[in-house]
Amino acid sequence: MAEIVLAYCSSHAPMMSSAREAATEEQREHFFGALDFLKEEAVKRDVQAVVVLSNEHYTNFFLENFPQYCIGLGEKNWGPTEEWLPIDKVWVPGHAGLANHIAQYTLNHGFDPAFSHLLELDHGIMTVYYELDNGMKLPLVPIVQNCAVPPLVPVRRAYEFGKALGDAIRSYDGLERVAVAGAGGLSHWIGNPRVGDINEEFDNWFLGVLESGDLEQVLDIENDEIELAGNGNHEMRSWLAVAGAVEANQSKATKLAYEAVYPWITGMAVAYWETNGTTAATAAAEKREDSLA
Amino acid sequence: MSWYRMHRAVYDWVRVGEVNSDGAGGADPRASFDVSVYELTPEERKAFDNQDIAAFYELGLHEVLINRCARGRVLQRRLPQAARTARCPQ
Repeated sequence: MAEIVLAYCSSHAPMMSSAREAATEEQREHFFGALDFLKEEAVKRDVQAVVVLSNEHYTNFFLENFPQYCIGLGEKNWGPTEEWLPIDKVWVPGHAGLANHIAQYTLNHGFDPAFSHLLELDHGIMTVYYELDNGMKLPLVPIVQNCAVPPLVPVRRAYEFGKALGDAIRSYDGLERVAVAGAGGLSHWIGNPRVGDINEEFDNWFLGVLESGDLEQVLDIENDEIELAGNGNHEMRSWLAVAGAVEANQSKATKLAYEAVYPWITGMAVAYWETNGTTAATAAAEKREDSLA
Repeated sequence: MSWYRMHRAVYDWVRVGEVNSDGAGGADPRASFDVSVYELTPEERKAFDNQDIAAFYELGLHEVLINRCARGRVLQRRLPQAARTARCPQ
């Protein structure tokens, strides 16, 4: 069966790619340093595929039909869609076996995700995926959530979906080592007069909750309270889904970076959860050494 | 005509210059966009013709779409055609 050997979340402001130098050198060192650490861990832990949860920005769906969750089942997906995002536009390999298993498992356990055999991946997924694998060869199962258009999934429901996702991955026998990443948040405002504001107090409180593991503090948060940190803060659902996906005894996150990057109009954070990755990675390393001996 | 139609018009305008746009002959695919089929109110049509972000906001356009529209408006001026028509080769 597969193990989740790496679990983390990162903000996904597109300016992290398109206006990288607008952040201070110190901010870049902290933020990208955290992502570099995770990239190195993914290599060390011999990750075979990554599931990335992000959110829909009217890229694949519009008001005629707007699913709360959509799982990318395709053998490949296309991205990034934004013409201006300085990441090569490529066919990103999917992992149909894992994706179909997640879809079926979550259907069997109280969720009704939509599915797509061709998702167009925007900055929401591509910025974080690219930082994990610059070559964009690692098989990716994209999951897009509705974090923008009411009615929205309650935060607790997003967390519960993450739990089902984690169980789905752990019951999949086609791979051994899977990473899970959440992309989005933290505080930011989009398309309204408060664009450019960042609520550092909220962001630090939220990261503190994740580090404490006491998620009950946040699981019943109402939408108007979420919006104290901006309409973009609804993307915190991805973070709580990843918190749900890790096993209960690993529920405390570790903050790797937090930078209020005003030129990127976003509170930029990276956090990860300890996983069984050490066990799986050690086994994988021993296997490689045996094959070389 | 309706909240939905205004959203549909702006969304279609944004998308026509993004993925899956033809960009045939080097022409700006947004130049030939026909907004009349959306039956917008005079206020909506004025906002659209002027690409008036503040007016869109007052009219209740979804904020994610306002964001997309603003980027589209800027990029229409700045990016070469080849970059504007990055497409999914289905």
